[in-house]
Amino acid sequence: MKMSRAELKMQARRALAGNYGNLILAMLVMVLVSWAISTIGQAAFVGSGILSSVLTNIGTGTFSSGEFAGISWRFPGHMYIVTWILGLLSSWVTVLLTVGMNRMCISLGREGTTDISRIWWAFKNHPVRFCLLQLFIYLLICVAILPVIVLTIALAFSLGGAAISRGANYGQVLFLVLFLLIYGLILAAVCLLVYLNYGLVYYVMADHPDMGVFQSLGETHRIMRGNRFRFLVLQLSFIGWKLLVILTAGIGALWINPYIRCTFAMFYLDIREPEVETIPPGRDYQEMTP
Amino acid sequence: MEQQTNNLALASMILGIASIVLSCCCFIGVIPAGLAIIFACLSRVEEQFTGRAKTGLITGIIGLVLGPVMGMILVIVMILAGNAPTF
Repeated sequence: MKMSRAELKMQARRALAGNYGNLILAMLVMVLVSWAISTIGQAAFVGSGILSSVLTNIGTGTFSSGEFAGISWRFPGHMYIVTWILGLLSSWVTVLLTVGMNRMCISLGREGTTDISRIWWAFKNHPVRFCLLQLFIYLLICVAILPVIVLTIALAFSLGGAAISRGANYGQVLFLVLFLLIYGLILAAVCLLVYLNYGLVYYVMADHPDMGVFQSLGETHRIMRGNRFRFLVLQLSFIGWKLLVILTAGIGALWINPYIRCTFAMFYLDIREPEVETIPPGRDYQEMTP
Repeated sequence: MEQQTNNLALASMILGIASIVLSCCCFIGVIPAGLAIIFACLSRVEEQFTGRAKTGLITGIIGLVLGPVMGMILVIVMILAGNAPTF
């Protein structure tokens, strides 16, 4: 039986009752760990720049320099790479923790109970496949924006800065702007389509530890067939909640984020296991189990 | 489960009342008002809201409306006071 939006949300609220503490703690862990890694990256970048200036004060092996508080300082070239790697690591860890949270929500939907230790689940169950998925997504993004980069560079070479300032070649500039506009719209439509087809991939991966990247993508595509519109409407139905979170200066996200995740876990369980019995009002999961 | 939802409803009611009180302090009241609405909605695990949740929801909405209104009144009063002739 396919549940309506209201039913899915009600199920999520019932499952969350008594379990908010675990999920809020998991969210805090996720935010703090991601923040710590990205902060370490930034600190390493800035710190190495300052250290490099103090120790050597020469420009060998540098890419760029700047002026800060009257002191000339330089960033060693390799630090750009280190920062980039730390950025990738940060996003990878965030994905692993996100999958852990999804796992918590799925177990909440199935068993009615969860514990905080499940947030580390993805670290112990083939974490490399999540890294591969991340790299695959990065690759897709690079391919998607490649035409824009190529065209912009080509036009920049053919025009030249002076030509633009003289007012010449307006046609080419107009062409570039129109191309970016139309290409941006097409890209947005494609992204939406991809999201509607593969939006639940992290839930599928959290539920199937043995599935590979492409297998999970294929499975997600299969279960989303006939449910894309429901998924889109469910996503849009949370806009009001997100506005409310802004009004609370982000504090409300501690409760709303688990609620949204849990609702999507219920949606996933609904399209995956439509035969699972729903929880009647006023009854616990434990009461339902034989 | 019931205990937890009761706690949420109670928190909603307290924050809703606090939001009305705090709405006099510019926009500070908006934060508890938003939280009151969130808690009231999240505490609904039955078809109907409980009494406390309903109170929290209503006071939260009032606090949410009252906060910006009071803020605007304050700004208008300050502008008028600034333009007032001094003796």
